[in-house]
Amino acid sequence: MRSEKFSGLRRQIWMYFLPALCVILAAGAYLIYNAENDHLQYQSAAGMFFAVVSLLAIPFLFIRNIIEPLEEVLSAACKITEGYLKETVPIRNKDEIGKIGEQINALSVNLQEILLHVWNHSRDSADILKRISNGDIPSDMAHDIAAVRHSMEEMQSMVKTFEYYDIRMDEDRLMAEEAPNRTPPPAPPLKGEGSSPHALSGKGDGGLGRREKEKIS
Amino acid sequence: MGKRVLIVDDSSIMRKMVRKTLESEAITVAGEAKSGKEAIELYQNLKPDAVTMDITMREMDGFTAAKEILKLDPKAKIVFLSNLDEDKYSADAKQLGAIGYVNKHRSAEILTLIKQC
Repeated sequence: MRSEKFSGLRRQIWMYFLPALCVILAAGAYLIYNAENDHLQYQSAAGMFFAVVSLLAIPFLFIRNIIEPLEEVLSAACKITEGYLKETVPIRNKDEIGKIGEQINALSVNLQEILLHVWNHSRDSADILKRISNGDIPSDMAHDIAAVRHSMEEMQSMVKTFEYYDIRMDEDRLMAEEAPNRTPPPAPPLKGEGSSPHALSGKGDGGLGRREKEKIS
Repeated sequence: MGKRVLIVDDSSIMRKMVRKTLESEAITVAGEAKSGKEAIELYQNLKPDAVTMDITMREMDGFTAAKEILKLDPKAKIVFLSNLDEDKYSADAKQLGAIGYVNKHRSAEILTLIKQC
């Protein structure tokens, strides 16, 4: 905990503050030492005191208004990433940090909705399939099959509302995203199982994907 | 003229999904609100024919927002949507004067209720 207090932005603000404090103290000491009379010496000392107090306020205000809210956003984002979707970012202000917090909260809401959507559809389908596998064959089998199919299509429909990195959707197939400098994919095998060599799971082998290119640049 | 619907849900993905469902049957989406408070404001401005209202929203839940809307317009037609257990909320929804309660993933039922409005 002690190391966190002096890491990242907190350490940086103190690194900027301390040299500035040294300069003010040195300038103040010089003015006091070279003052021609007591009155000027007193004025220089008072000026230095107010300068130091004002300067001290900057890092404390910066920590309270920027670093601490950012740390709250970071902490909540880490928990959401780990799967604690009930975690929310406290929104203190409507500034940029508050807006980042709102977006992280919205991301968590969306993730929850997607999971519940998948859960509801898969539960319905699993119930039907369980019944059939237990030997309870319904008289109107077509109705049950249509329900399972509908559930699958609804899940696919949700998947299609997103845009993906390195992947594009071509009708119902997942394809490697085409980059301008992508090398042509290898020729398809003469005999296959119907799966195109272009259909990838996101580990693009036909050239560099966006993330790989970002890493290189 | 087709029906105009206001979609209320705090999840942008669900709003998108509901919009897609409605537009597939040529139902017009009058607007989208991401919280109960926004829903009340938009309802007054847009005067939609029906509202699809999510129940669990972080800022103001769907029941509270629906009560406020029904205070403003007792004839408001509200369909509650949720991922939650139907038995738990369907009675509350009917008692409140809503048109119905549908699980969000049952798009056909959503359309049926909206068309009945």
